Amino acid sequence: MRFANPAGLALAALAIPVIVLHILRPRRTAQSVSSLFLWRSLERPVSSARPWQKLRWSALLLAQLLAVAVLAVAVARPVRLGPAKLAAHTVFIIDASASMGAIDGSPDRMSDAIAQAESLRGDLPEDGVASVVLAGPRPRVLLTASPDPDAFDAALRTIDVGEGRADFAGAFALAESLETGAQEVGFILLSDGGLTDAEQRQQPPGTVYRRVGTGETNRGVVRLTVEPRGSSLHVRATLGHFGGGPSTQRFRVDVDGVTAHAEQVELKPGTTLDVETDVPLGDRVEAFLEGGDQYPLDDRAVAVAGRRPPIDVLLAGRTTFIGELLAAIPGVTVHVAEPGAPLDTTDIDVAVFAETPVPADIDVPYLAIAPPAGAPGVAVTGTVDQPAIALVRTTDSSSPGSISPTSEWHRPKRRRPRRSSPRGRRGAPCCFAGPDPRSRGCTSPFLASSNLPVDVAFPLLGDRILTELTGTAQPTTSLEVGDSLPVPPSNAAVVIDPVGTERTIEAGDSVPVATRAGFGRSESTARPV
Amino acid sequence: MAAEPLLDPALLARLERVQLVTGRRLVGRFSGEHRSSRHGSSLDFADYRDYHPGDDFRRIDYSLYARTDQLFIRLFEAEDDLAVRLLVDTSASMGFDGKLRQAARLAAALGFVSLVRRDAVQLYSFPPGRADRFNGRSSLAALMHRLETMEPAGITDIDRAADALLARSGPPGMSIVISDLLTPTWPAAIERLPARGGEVTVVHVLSNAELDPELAGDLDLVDAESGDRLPVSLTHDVVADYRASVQAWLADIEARCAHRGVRYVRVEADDDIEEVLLRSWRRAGVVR
Repeated sequence: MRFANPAGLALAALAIPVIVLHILRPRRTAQSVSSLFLWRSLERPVSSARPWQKLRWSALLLAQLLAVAVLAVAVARPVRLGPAKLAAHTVFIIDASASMGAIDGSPDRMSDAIAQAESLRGDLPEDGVASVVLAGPRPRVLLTASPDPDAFDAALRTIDVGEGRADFAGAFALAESLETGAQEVGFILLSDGGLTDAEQRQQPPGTVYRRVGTGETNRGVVRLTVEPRGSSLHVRATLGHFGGGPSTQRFRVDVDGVTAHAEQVELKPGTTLDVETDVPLGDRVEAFLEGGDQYPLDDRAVAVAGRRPPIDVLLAGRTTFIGELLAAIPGVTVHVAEPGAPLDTTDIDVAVFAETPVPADIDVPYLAIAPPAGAPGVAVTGTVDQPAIALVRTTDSSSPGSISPTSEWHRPKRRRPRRSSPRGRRGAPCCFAGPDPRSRGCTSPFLASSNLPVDVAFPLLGDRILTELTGTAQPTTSLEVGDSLPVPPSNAAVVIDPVGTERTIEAGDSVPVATRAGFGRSESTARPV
Repeated sequence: MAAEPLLDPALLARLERVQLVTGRRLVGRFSGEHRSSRHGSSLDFADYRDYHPGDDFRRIDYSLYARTDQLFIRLFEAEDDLAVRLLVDTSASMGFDGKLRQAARLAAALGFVSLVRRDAVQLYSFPPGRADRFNGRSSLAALMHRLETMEPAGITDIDRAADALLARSGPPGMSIVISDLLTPTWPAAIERLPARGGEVTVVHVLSNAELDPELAGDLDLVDAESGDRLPVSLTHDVVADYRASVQAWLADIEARCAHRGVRYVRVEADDDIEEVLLRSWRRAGVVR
């Protein structure tokens, strides 16, 4: 016999106060007597001043102890486990989340889950069929209503532990979709737990839960972020202690495969610890929390130092101020156009026109600064006296935003199929972008006459304008498995995952997501990102 | 529904023939039925004495004068009444287990016996110390009413009651104290009561619960008179010690009474009053 709620047996501790109440001397009962005259002559009429007495077994005590025992057992809900009769069509939902790789199984939890599934498969009734649904980051059906044990085993052999959270909601939906109505359907969930309340409510009715894994010892790197800081990279890691006793472990940071930092960290149960350090510049940053626990997968985290690729800028017109501005931006190479000569935009990422007309056939993104006659599709209607710098970025890259001298700005109206015609505040600088990459542009009437500190504000503004125009946003330095990869949705790209598998993403395809922890690569048709 | 009378008529009829016994002759105030220590005018010859001028010459024994040629006066025994003082303890402790009721019945019986013998009865209840005098059979009803309306209250102050008794004038007579003596001052009272002269009888009224308590366990004993509390753990040994202590106390009272010439009788609250009066007390010489 086992208990469905073993914690209820803790109520047996109520026996202690019951016994204590019987050991404690009861409050003396007042007994009126004719006189204390005779009683006072007795020596030590009070047997003891101690508040307790010898335990005397009585029917009342035994009844109270019996009641406590019955209550504890009732709350613990004793159950007798018997072999569960499987349904004629049994759907095995196997958790393939990263935690199933914990090594407290044989050798890990997933192996235990597969072994349990194989064992349970033998309990299917005659003519019974089995389905297998893998509850990984991307749930999928591995086997559909198959009566063949060999096919079942083959499906199980294809299971590999994922490296992210399981999408249980999707897995449950898939499992329920396998129900045909022709046969009785039952569901068995093989998991190490970790389902949220919402996910538990989404289980198909009658799902039998078979738990795998019992250990809880786990420490890991919860988060790793990297940002360039001068001539070094600043690494910030968050370490978590999720189970087991206090531990002192070695934390290590590798940059491009070379150990750049190591220290001993003390982790306390149920807490997190932030570790920050500066490491030399590099591309690939890996953080390791060394020391054995039952879940090694989260003992390593990776991140890349987000660095933008070099940008070639063609500068036309007045070059004095804007040339210095562009030169102050790291990774920018400025090519000055010869006055009167035709523009050569070969290998040019963006063109800047300073107080000079913008050619109508410009075929690269451009920045027009106080253009005398506006820009293609943009008419100049006035100027502002005291502009201030502000950047307003729209989330939709296909629609123009604006850079306004004040916080008050107006989203331009779309005029398809014409190129977007931004109308911000009168005379305000603005950026715009159409569906064609070449249709991105910015105009600014004030960059040449502003008195804002050049070494502070304008490099930032210039950097952001160039980033916006060239579409070379810095990649996210750290991605979780399951997060979207930083691939421009409008560009075709090739994604190479950490194990070297290539996948071509056409323009307009859905954004791919990270499926494994490690260093991958994506390349657009124009440039690697 | 009328309250039950202290003494039923049948017992009263028997008590008509009962008389208080005094160990020695006591001088009374009026003529009565008890032999007095002085000479009087009864028919019982007592003695001769020399004639002195002024003596009643009718008492001169002329026969003796003829033989001896001297004048002698014949003396006869006097029969006086008996001044009976009933001191009844009405303290709160007497309210337990019917002790006061028993005391009232005993006092009523003694008062009845006295009144039918034309003895003067003085009822003195303490506390608070109220004295009433009853004379003659006609005051029987008043005596009974007085006894029936006594209520237990206050502290046993027998010492003060003894003082009050000693301070009262009148012939020594017989003093009968009816009390449970549950007070530390009882020895002093017994020592002083005989100082007035006359005879003193202590009727010790106790309940069975006081002699042989059936209490057990951890108790807070509350004194009915003072309200004081005494925590006790009544084991078998402690109760046995209590019983021994009570017996020693009773023996001490008896010894002191004997030493001071005080007659001592003990009555339990649930004793049969007829058995006590007509048998036990007769054997003890309290009545005849």
